[in-house]
Amino acid sequence: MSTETKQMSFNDIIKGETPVLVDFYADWCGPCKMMGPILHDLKKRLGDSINIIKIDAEKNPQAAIKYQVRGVPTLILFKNGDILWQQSGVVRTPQLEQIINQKTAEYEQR
Amino acid sequence: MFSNLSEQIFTNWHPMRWVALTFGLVLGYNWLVHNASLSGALSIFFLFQAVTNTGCMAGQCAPRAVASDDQIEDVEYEEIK
Repeated sequence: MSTETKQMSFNDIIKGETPVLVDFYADWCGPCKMMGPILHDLKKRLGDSINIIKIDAEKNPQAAIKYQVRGVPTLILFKNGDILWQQSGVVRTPQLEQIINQKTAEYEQR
Repeated sequence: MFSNLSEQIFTNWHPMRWVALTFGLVLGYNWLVHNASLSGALSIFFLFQAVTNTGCMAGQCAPRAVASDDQIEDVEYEEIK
């Protein structure tokens, strides 16, 4: 598991059919460091059914302000450009997996 | 710099910031009334966090994000593979 720098624009990736989990973080934030292994574990579990990206909230203030990121880490789940779920604070892998499955299923039923 | 500072102080008053402010004021009152120096130190700590919107409480930290002229299209991200 590794991280890669962007190939598509942020707007393109969140408007995709595949759900996208965005983690807003800051380098100096202790709880944000806990999210790293959790997100890698989540990617291992869910594979290509989800895209997971990390955004430095301080290097990208406009995005942080647009999505009302008031604390880091903040997790936002997107699909087709819509926000399905948003929460601040550390969320464990099983809970995160359950939330993603539930929110995407609810979105499909709309 | 000063516009950033005023934005940092006067905007983004999320619930945990109010909690820090309340702690700071209560501890500050205790410091002044009972001359409790430990309360004074803690009061300054919490008031600093509340006023400057810094620090970590309840498993999350306040980002130092203030508005800039950057476009939303220019978002830098890392993808987890």
